[in-house]
Amino acid sequence: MAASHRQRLEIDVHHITRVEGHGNIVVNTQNGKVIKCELQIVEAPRFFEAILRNQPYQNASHLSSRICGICAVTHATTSLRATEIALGIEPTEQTVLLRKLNLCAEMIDSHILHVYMLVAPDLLGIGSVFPLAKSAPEVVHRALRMKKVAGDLSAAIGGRHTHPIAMTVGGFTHLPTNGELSSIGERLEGMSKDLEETVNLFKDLSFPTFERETEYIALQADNEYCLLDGHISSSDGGTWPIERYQDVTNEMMVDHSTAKHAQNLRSSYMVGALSRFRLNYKDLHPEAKSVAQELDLSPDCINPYKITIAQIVEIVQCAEEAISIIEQLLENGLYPEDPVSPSRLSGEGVGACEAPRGTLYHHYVIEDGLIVDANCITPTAQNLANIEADMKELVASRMDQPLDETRLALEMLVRAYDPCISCSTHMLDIRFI
Amino acid sequence: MSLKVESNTINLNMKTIVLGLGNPLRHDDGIGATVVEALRQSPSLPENLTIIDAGTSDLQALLLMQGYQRAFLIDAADFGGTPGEWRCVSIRDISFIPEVLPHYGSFHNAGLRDAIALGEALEILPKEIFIYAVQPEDLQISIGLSESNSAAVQEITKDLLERLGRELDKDGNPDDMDEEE
Repeated sequence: MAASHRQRLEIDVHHITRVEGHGNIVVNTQNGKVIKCELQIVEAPRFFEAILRNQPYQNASHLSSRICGICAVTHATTSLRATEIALGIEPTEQTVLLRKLNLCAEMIDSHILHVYMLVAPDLLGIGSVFPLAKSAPEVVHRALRMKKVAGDLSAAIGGRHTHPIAMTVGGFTHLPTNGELSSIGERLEGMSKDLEETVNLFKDLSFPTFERETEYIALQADNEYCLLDGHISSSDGGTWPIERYQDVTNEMMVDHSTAKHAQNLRSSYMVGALSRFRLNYKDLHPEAKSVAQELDLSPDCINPYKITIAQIVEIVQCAEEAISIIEQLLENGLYPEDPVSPSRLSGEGVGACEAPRGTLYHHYVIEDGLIVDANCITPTAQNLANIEADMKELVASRMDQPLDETRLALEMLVRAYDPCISCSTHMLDIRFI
Repeated sequence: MSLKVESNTINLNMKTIVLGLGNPLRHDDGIGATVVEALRQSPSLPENLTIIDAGTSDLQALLLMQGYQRAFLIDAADFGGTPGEWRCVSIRDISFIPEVLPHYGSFHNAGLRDAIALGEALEILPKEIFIYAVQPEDLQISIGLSESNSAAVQEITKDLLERLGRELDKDGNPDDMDEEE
């Protein structure tokens, strides 16, 4: 194959999703050198910032939750935190617990989808989840079973599947009943066998061995595996308060993408499951630590393909955390409380949460109750520069490998980061028979 | 058993869910959410009808349909019609135009086409799925439907309620002519 491939390698993987969001991989090499290696992406959340302007602050979280059908809870929660900080609102303990519970639900839901529907078919060598649904339906049923528990938990807290409606500035407009929480707690506990089977499935699969060290960034807080608030922390040392996020993201324009690239202490950094796992390893639940050990994932892992393994560890972490929060809420007894009112109607605030793919920031300026400026930085935007740096090194290390294998290795690498471009329209393209 | 909406012979007494799909921040992609809202305002809703604004998680929509015998989905669709034109069709009567390399990237972006294909493979789909497909005029990022699509909202709401109403007797009970179906 291809002496010519050794001299000149061109890979173009076009991913046309719906109308606007797209992510193309473009790689060119000549004479053993990588000339071009890009992940081209249209980043739609930027356009949503314009929608937020001039909206009453009460609308921001509901509008934000529509940015993404997968990270709807995280967008809504991050938006609420930005608004609350701007308007001097301190949410109650019950509100914070319910929000953390909902973030756990979304994390489980999203990670299950990613590891089963996207990554497993690659590692099993079957291309997509559809042949898997035929050849091993029990595996896909298991994934959907766990996804349903997470979705139902999210609906009980947020008042609706997918786009939460009960979460509001200062609290909740609707609370789950003790019975609902208790029943979902039991279903979460009942997930243990499915989780065990998940670990068994991935224990037997082998991951590409590519390694590249980078800077890892995640939220951190004392004595918890942080998903909400806290401070920004880097594996290269250093912590930043959330309101100083721009000192970490340092966004810059690049030619080939409408999404800006981010860099902190190195030329790129990673956010997401592997970053959180590395930085917050000591705060993992013992069950999650034990799964990490079983899957041979250590906190010094620098293989980006193993983001998937970190996601499995986080599924267990979030299931355990959710069970523990539910116990605490039931012990306290859920009590109706009015959302906390703003102490002012003008101000500036930054909210941060860990979305399944990494740290998400919303930054609002509010004047007389209206949002006059908004900035939203997604995990995918922060990861772009890092993905490209990985791609470059991966391609350089595979110059003598068959083209098809390199193309697949690149696709799998990008998939491992699970870049989110789902904020495009969901219009159907159909033909009547 | 293959049924066409047009035949007015919809099986009665079926556990039914209506799902509005799409993103209301994308202009006419908000058709699903708007019809769901209009249905909720209707005074003549069958009590046992489930109505959900399912937004942009198509795999979640698949899970929501589980356990129902029939689903009505409302979504923007490009079928080459004029803006605001709509049709109600069984999914058996349409083919989805495949995207390029649909499995690269993220199943997170899986559209309804993939979700239905997965549901078919796993045999978990409702027996009948009908889509109210509405031709959008504009999908730019902004809130609110175009005039042509707004006109479709009342028409679709009326059509759907009439279809369901035909299944109920005067007391609001499901007709049981085909109960054991």
